[in-house]
Amino acid sequence: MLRYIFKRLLMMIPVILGITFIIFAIMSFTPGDPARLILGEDAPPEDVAELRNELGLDDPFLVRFVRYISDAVQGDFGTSYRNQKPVFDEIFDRFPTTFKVAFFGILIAVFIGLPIGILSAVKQYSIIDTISTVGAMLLTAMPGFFVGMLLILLFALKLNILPATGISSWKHFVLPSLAVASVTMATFIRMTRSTMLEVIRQDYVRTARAKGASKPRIVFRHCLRNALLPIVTVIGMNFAHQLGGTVMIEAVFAIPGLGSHMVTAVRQKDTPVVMASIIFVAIVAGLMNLLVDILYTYIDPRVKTQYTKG
Amino acid sequence: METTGTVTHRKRSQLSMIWFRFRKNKLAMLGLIIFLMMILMAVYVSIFGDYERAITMDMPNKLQTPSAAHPFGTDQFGRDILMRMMFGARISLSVGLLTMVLSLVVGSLIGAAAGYYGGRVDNLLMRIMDVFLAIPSTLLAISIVAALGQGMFNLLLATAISQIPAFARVVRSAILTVKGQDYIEAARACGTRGGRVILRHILPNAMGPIIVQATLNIARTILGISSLSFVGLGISPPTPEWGSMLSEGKTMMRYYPHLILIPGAAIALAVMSLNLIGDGLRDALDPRLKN
Repeated sequence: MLRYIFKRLLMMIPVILGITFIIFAIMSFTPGDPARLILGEDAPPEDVAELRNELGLDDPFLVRFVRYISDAVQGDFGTSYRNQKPVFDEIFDRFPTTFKVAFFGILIAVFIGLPIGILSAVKQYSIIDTISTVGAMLLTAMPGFFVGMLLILLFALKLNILPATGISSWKHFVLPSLAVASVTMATFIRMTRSTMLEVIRQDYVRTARAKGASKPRIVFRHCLRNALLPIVTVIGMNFAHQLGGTVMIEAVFAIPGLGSHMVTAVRQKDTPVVMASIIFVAIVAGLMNLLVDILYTYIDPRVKTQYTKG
Repeated sequence: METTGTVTHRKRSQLSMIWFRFRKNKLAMLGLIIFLMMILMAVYVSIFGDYERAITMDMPNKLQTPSAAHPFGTDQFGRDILMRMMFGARISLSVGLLTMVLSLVVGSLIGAAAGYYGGRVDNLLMRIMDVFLAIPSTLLAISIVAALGQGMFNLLLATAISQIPAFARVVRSAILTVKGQDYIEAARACGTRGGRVILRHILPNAMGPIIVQATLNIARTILGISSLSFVGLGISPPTPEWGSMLSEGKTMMRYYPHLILIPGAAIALAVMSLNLIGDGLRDALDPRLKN
C-alpha cells in the first residue's frame, strides 16, 4: 500500500511539470509587461528596462522556465508583482475560505443527493423517481452562479433571513454552500440512481432477496456497498474541482477565495501568483484523487489486492 | 400496398432506426423542439426588430416592468430585454456550435491517432491530454482569454481548447472498442493506409458516443461562455449575451428580478434542451445502455 502511494505521488510530478510549462508559456508569450506593472504607468523606460533585466525577463523562454522550476523545487515560488509578498502567503490566507465553501457544499450535496438517488432507483418509475429526475435535470441546466443569485433573491432580499455577501459568520457560508451544492447534487442524484439501478439487477441481489434478507439490508449492504465505487469517484472529482475555487460563485457572493484571487492575478498578469495558485490547485486535486483511490480499498477489498500486487 | 410491417422494418436503414427510437423518447423530442425553436429564433430574430433596439440606450424608458411594447421589460439602460435575450441566443448558439466543431475536429484527430496507433504515441498524446484535464477548465479558459485579449474569436478558442481533452478521450475509447474487429483487419489486409482506415472504416462505426459527447459539449460551452462573460472576461457590453446580462442585472435584482430571471431562464432552457437531446441520442444510438 505504501509503495502504491509513493508510486502515485511520483506520477504526479510529470503532470505538474506539464501544467507548469503550459501556464508559464501562456503567461510569457502574451502581451503585457510585468516590470511596467510593478513600476506603474508613469515610470521612465530606463527604470522599466533595468527592472526587466533584474527580474531576468529578457532571457530566453526556456532559460526562464528552467530557472522558475529550479527555484520552485527549492521552495521559492517568487513574490507577487502586485504587493511584493511571497505568493503562498495569500494563497494560504484564502484557501480556508474556499475549502469551507467547497466542503459544506459537497457535504450538503452528498446528504441530499445520495438518499434521493437511492430512493429513486429503488422506486423506479414512481412519482418520487420522476420528481427527482426532473429536478436533477433542471439543476444541471442552471449555472451555479445563477442558482446563487436566485438564492440571494429569495433568502437574503425577500425573506431577509440570511446575509448575501461576505464571510464574517457561519451564516454567510450557507447560501454559497447551497449554490455549490445545487449543481453537484444533480450530478450525485443522476450517478447514484444509474449505478444503483445497475446493481439492483445483479444476480446476487436476487439471491439476497431469495434468502429473505430485509429490504433495508438489501439496499444498503448489498446494493449500495457495490454501487459506492463510482459514486465516491464522482464525489472526489467534484470536491477537487470545487477546491480550485469556484470563480463565478465567489463573484456572486463577494467571497475572497482562491478563485477570485486567481482571476485577479490572471487579469493583472501577476505571473508568480498565477503559477503558484495553479500548481497549488493541481497538487490539491492530485492528492484528492489519490485519497479517493485509497478510499476504494476500504470500500472494495478486491481493489486492495490489485494495489498490493502492482 | 400489401407489404407488411416486418418487411419495411427490416429494410430500415440504421439512421431511420435511430430516428425511430429517438422519436419515441418524449423528453428527447421536447429537447429537440426547444433547441430547434432557439435556432430559428437566433436566425430570424431580425424580423422582430433591429439589432439597434438591443444595444441602443433609451434612458427615459429604463427599468420598465413587462408591458405590450416590451414583453419582458427593459434593463437599466432602457434596452428591450426580449430583444437582448433573442440576440443573445445568436452568440451563445453560434459560439457553442463553432466550439463544438473546432474541439471535435482537433480532439478526434488526437484521440483517433492515440487509439489507432497505440503504444508510445498513445501514451504521449494522452498524458498531454491529462495535463490539460488537470487544469480546472474555467481557469484554463480564463488564462487564455486574459492572454489573448477579449473578443468573440478568442473566447471561442479558449473554450475549444479546454474541451479538446474530453473529445480526445471519447474518440480514443470508441476507437479502441472498434479497432479489434474483423472488418478493420480486413481493411488493413487490403493494404489500406492508417489515415484512411481511421476516417473511412473506424470513425463512422464509432460515431455514436462522439455525437452524444458533441451535443453535451455544446451545452457545456454555453454554460462556459455565460460564466466567462459573467466575470467580465467573455463578450463585453453592450453586445447582448446571457452571461453579461446576468452580471449587469446583478446590482438591480432586488427591485427588478426580471433582469436576471430572463437571461437565466434562457441559459437553463438552452442547456436543458441540449442535455435532453444528448441523453435521448445516447439511448437511441445504443438501446442496450437503456435500463
